[in-house]
Amino acid sequence: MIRLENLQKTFVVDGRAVPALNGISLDVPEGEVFGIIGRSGAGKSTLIRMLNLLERPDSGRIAIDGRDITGLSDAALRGVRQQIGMVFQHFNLLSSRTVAENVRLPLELTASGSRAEQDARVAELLELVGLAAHRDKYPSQLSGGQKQRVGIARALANRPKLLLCDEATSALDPQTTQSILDLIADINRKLNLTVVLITHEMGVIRRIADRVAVIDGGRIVEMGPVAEVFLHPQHAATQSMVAELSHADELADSGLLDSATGAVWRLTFVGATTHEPILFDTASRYGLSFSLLQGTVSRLKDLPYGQLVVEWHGEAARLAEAREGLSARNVVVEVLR
Amino acid sequence: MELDWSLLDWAEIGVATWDTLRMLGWSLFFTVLFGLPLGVLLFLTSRRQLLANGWLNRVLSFVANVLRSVPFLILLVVMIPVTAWLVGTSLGVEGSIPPLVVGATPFFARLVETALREVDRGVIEAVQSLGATRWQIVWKVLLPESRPGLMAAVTVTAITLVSYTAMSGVIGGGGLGDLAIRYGYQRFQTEVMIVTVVILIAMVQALQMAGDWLVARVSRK
Repeated sequence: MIRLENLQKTFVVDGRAVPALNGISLDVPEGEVFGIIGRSGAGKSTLIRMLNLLERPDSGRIAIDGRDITGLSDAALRGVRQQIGMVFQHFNLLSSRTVAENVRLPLELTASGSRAEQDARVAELLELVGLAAHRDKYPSQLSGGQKQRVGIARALANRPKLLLCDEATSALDPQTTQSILDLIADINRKLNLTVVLITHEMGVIRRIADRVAVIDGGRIVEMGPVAEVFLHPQHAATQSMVAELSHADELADSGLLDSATGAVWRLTFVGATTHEPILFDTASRYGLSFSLLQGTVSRLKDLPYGQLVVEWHGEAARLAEAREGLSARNVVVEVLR
Repeated sequence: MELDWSLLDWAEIGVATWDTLRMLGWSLFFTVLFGLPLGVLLFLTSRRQLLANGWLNRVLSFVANVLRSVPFLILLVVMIPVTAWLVGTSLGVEGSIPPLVVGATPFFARLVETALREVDRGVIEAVQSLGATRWQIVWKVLLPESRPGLMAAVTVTAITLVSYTAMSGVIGGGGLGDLAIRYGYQRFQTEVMIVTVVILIAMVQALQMAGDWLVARVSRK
């Protein structure tokens, strides 16, 4: 669906060259939810805006559906853009138009269908995003979450194959964020729409992305399935973003680690293992006792996972056996102490 | 000083008021007709906008600035031959419309440019991402989104034109200004001066109220 090859972009600010993207290459297959995460200034915004050429790269190739879009004429580029929906952090709705008129705008631009057909399409879209009752309101009368739903309906009006989400939930509160992410995930499933989203929040990636690229200083420093990157972050930038979400810093701050007298392990497991009584089994089988220092059991999109920090007491030989036993059950063991 | 209101020729004041309204109406019409596209062009050719063109923008900007820096009274006089060629006379209502339009158009265009700058860049970008042409962006985004600002610009311009029409009395332009100069100033009839000033004040008040009402009506923010 999308193939980026060696994208380069440098901005000139006050006469100084500021590199924004430095050799970005990636592939996004059709139907995937692909997340791009990075701190502000990492270059992620520049990157997503290149996918419909709101920003042009200095060099490199951007292929959408196998076609390089960097060399297209204005008219051909407009055609490509009509096939790519985009949702923005600040919604960017037209304040002079009602909800229904905002959603109709893309249809007017492409002059697609009669007035009646456009009406029907608008009604269908407002139904999809749950705003049918608000069709004649103006954006200023809506909440943030409702505005974003209008933004999503507008982005979908021309039945795009690709949806770009530029920090789509960053201006929303946690509950609204959840409902908007559910909506995007729902649309991705129902319409088999490819979604590329950028965010600075690991929580967003965790909830809806299939794969993720971590971008730092204009480069992709880590990329892979979300479970892998999230549970076993390699790069420092990824580790710090994951730590924020899993409260790993709190463990260090709490002093629990320093005051521990036994062996402290971090256990990570995904899928069916999450439902197994691994701690009890291990303790009883190897004659160990344990206390739980910290733990998370949650989901990565549809995949259940757990991450527990456990302090064990027992004989060293039994501990070593326990460690192998856990590994055999697909539990990843990291020794913290 | 004793004021003698019996000397007032109300019929002549009526004609003068009507003349002023005609001058105002026509000159406002042509000012908007020429100033709106000029303002849009000034905006579009400015830095980082859809038709960013430094050279064209500097030329337009320079012309607008030159016209705006000429005092209107001087412009009236300088324009006399052009006006005579354009409408056949440099006197009366017809003769005062060209200088009024030339004087007000750059002013209005600058106000239009400012109103368009108020349109959220993100909204323009969103519509670009939908594959809109530049023309569609102007018609479907820039102008509708800046409607309150444009209404306010028309109001301010109309009020400026009222004072310009009064000045055009100097070159025999007709209307209330002409009346005030001929009777109030040259013949020391203070009563005429007072009445014309009161009518002008009423006109400006009415324009401002109508403008405010329109702005409130089209505001959706």
